[in-house]
Amino acid sequence: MWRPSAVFGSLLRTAAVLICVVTVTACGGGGYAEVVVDSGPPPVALLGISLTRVGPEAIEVDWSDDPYVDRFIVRRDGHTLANVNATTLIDASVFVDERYCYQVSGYDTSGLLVAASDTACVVLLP
Amino acid sequence: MAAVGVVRPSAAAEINLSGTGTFKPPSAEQLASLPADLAFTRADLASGQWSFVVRYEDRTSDADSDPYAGRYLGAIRAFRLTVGSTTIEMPVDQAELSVSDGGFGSPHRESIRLEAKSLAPYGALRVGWIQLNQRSRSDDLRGAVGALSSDAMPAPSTIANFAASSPFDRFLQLRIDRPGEARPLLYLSSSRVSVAVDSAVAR
Repeated sequence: MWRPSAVFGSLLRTAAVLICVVTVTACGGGGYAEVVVDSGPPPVALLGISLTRVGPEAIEVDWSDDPYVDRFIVRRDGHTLANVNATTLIDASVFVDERYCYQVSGYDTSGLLVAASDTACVVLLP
Repeated sequence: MAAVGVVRPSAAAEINLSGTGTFKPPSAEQLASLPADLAFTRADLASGQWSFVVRYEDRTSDADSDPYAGRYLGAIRAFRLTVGSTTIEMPVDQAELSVSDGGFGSPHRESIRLEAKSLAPYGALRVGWIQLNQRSRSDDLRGAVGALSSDAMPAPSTIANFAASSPFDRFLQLRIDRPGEARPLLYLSSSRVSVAVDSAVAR
């Protein structure tokens, strides 16, 4: 999915860096250089994540949507569990008496990471 | 003289805990498959609203010989669950307050559980306010390590809001099991529950 604001932001940052470089060069390095610090929004949006036990051996993972995400990858304990374009998933491949940690990452159509959740963990009891 | 809202450390007290929250309602298909004689109506279950009140006595003796596991039989004096607009009283003789400081054969896990069970024609109904603190299996949380230092009955504020290992490791759970069936007839669980100590009455 094309992300106009992200592209525009990227162009602005590139332009700011170029201006700095040109300024320093033009002054021969003898003057002072103005440093521009880009304090724009972080490039990766934060996704909310929640876990719900929906059965003795089933966990529902829900996460928030992001308009720039094309696909989500759900990881369990660091391993890819699913590649989906939904915002919910029921993981029935779990066992009681275990602890599972989930993390969701969102990628745009170019495959760039544009959103990510924190890691959320849950314990299943017998 | 009994005092409401004050706990005297040296005297036994009855503590009222109350929790309220939401759960994800069962799907329309799940609701349609439930028997008509369930304790809660389909409208109750579709509401996604529930709450509970537990009254317990804080000086009950530990009935478990495991030095890291406390079973406080008889401590729970009332266990009331409301789903939607229906309230049921769980039988207290089937209710239990248990504390694990790495006991019950799981040194890597601490827990505080308030649970009650009721047998009905449609199956066994179990309700629990369960909170866990769990680390990796190689960790040993017994004793001073971890959030609990022993299997003694924790303070009311801790029973209400234990330092769980994750926000999802404190949850209210309801399940109904039919005899001989592996899958529960109904299973509801939610961590979106706010629990507080309502009052304490010294005895």
